[in-house]
Amino acid sequence: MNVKDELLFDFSINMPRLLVSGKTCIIDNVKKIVFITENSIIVDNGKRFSAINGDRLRVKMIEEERMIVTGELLSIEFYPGKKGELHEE
Amino acid sequence: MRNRGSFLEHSIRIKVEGFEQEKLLTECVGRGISMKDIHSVNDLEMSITLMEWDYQEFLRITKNRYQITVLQENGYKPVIKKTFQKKSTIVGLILFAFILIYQSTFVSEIRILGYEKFTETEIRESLREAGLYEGSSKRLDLKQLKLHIYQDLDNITWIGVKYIGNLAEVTIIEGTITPKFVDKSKPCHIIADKTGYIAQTIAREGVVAAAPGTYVKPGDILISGIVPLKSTAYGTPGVELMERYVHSEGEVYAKVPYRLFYYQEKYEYKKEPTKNSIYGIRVEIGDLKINTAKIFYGYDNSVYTERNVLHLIRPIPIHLGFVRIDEVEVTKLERSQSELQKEANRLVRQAIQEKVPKNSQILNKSLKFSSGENIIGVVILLETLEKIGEKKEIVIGYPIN
Repeated sequence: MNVKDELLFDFSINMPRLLVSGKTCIIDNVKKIVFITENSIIVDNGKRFSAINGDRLRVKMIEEERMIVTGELLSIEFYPGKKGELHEE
Repeated sequence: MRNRGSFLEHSIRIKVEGFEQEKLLTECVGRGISMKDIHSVNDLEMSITLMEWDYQEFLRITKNRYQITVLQENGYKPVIKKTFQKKSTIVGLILFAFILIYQSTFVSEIRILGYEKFTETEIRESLREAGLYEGSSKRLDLKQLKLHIYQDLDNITWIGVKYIGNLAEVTIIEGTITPKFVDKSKPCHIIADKTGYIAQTIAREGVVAAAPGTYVKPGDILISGIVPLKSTAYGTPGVELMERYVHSEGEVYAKVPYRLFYYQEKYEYKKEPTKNSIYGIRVEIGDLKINTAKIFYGYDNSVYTERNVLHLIRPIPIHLGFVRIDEVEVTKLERSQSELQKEANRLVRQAIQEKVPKNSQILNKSLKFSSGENIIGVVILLETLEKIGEKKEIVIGYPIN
C-alpha cells in the first residue's frame, strides 16, 4: 500500500472499516445503529451500511464512533449508500 | 478524559424497555455517551452498562418513551454507600477500631537484652513484681519500675525500657566487679578483707604484721610490704635508707565467727475442709478484673484454687478461669522438739551454703533456741577457718586507706 492509498484509507471517515479477529469485530465510523438483535447488527457508516451476522452477538462497547462486537461471527455484508448519494446502486 | 475502563469507577447496569432501540442507541452515540455490554434480549428489551456521569444525560434522551430499571451498580462509590447504610457494619467497624486502639495500650511481648550474670527468668520475675509483664498496661511508672529493678537485682548499672508498638524492650547493663590487681613490680601490703582471729600466717615476701591470735578488722595490715633495713654502708648516703618496699606474698588464715539468727514457727497449722465451697469465674479484660466468687465470699479461713480456661495476650489481654474457694478450719498444733531440731539443722546447712565461702573449713557450730509467744528464735553460731587477705598497693605520699 503506497502513501496515497494509506491517506485515503485513514481519511475515509464515512466508509465502513472493520477489523475482525476470532470472535471479536471492531467497527469504526459508526454513525447510526440501524438494527440490533442477537443474530444481526447493522450500522450506518455514513455513505454505506455494514451488517454483521452471527449468533449470540453482543456489543461490548460503543464509544466515539467505534463499536466492539463479540459473538459467533458468521458473515459480514456491506450495503450500498442511501438514495441520491454517491454509492447508491 | 475520564477513565471509563477502570472497574473502580461508578457504572450502572440498566434494563431499557421500549420501541426503536436502535434510535436510542444512535442518539446516545451522537451525544458521545459511552455504552458497554449492550445485550439485546428482544425487540422491546435490552440491557446496557453506562458510566454514572452519563446516566442523567441518558435519562434526558429517553424521556418517558422508555422504561428504565437499574439492575446493578458497580464501583467503589456504591460499595461505600452500601456499606455505610448498614448499621451492623458501622457498629462492627467502630468495635474493630476500639479493639485496635485498646489492644495498643497493653504490652504483648517483653524482650530483654544485655543480661549476662542474671538469667532471663530472674529478670522477668523482677519485672513482673514491678508490674511489667505480658498483658500489663503500658501506663506504668517507668521510674518506679527502674527503681524496683535496681533494688531487686544487684550490680545493675543501667536499665532502659522502650516501647516499640506492643513490644517492651528492656535493656540492662550489669556492672563488673573485678578485684584490683596489683602489678608484681609494685610494692604492696596484704590486708584483711574480713573480721576474724588470725590462725596462721605464711609470709613468703614481706613482714608478718598480725601474729596468730590477733583480732583483725577489714583493712588491717596482715603482711607488710615495708621491710626495715639496717644498712652497713657507713659513710655513704645509703646509710640513711632505713626501709625497703616489697611486693608482699603469702597466705593468712583466720578463724571467722558467724552469728546468724532465724525464726521458726512454734505451731503447725492444720487445715481441715468444712465442705463449704463457693464457685465462681474470674475474668480479666485488660485492667478490668471481675471475680464472682469474691462477691459472695464470707469465710474466715479458706483455700483458693483456680483453673485457667483461657489466657490470651493478643489482640487484647483476656484471662478466664474457674474459681473454687473451700472453707477450712485451722487448728494449731505445737511442734515437737525433734521437728524443731530437724528444721534448725536444715537452716544451718542453708546458712553455710549462703554465708560461708566455699574453701572454708567449719571448726565449730552451735545452736541456741529462744522461745517467744508464737515463734522460736534460732541462733546459729559458726566458726570457720578461712583464707583472708587481699593485696593493697603501697602509694608513697598517700595514706594506705
